[in-house]
Amino acid sequence: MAKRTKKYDIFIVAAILLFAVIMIFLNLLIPQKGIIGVKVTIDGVLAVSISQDGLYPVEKDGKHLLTVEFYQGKARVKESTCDNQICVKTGWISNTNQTIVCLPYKIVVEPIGGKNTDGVDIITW
Amino acid sequence: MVKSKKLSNISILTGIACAMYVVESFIPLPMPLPGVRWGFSNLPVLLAAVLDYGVLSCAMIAFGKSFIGGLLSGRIASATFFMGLSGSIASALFMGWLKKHVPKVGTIGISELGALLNNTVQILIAGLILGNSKAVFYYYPYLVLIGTVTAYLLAVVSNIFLRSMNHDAKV
Repeated sequence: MAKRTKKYDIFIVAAILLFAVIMIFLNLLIPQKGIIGVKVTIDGVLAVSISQDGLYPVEKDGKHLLTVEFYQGKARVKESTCDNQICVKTGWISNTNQTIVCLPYKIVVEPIGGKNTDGVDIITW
Repeated sequence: MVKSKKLSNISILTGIACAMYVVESFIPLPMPLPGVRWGFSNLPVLLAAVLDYGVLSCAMIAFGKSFIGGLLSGRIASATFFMGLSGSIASALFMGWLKKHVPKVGTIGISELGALLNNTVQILIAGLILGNSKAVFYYYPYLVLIGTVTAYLLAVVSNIFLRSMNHDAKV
């Protein structure tokens, strides 16, 4: 019987797993800052910049696209008229290394970093 | 292999891939990543690659899967459709090439590298569509991790197929 699993396969799996785990750790190592606002871009162009709590409708050419909610250092897309609703399902974001993406409308909700809102530097468990 | 037999095999694999493409969206992920799917429908593409059907056949199955699957699931011509299409065609070409020219890599290696390329291309296309690559990069490590799990499972299933088809007798 021919050998189907070859020696190099183990190295490949190990290398890819290591690659993924390192990237996840790097992502976690980035200081987790509270966010003081979010900026919403459509196709790379700034649409609205948010720093106060509230609901912010996002429109383009008079057509309502989605509503961004910012509340106590967290942001989410409350509702969207897009077809796959991925941005809504992403839920709340509260760290500077997170984003909400709406591919159909090319909208990105990016946090604006700020000071630590709760005075805690590192949380371990 | 006889040409007509190869043609019919490719058609069967494309049909299976389309069915899996539609069904796999019902299988839940272990973590909440909106818009991410397992990618089990790449099994027929992987099978075509390890059966050494050639680079073009693999790409044809990948294209058929994305196109017909997109029609069936209603995702056609959306942003996610183009991401899936380019990702699966790129990985199909790469897996076919690996089987032909890199004999040191086995089924698991082909599957894992194909999945990695698939995810990388999808993220790059998503970044291109958005014009903002930083935003989608947050997803990438988790995609790679899920891709590794799927790719391993698909490789194991492919090896079982190869054994049942007694493929070794012909090699």
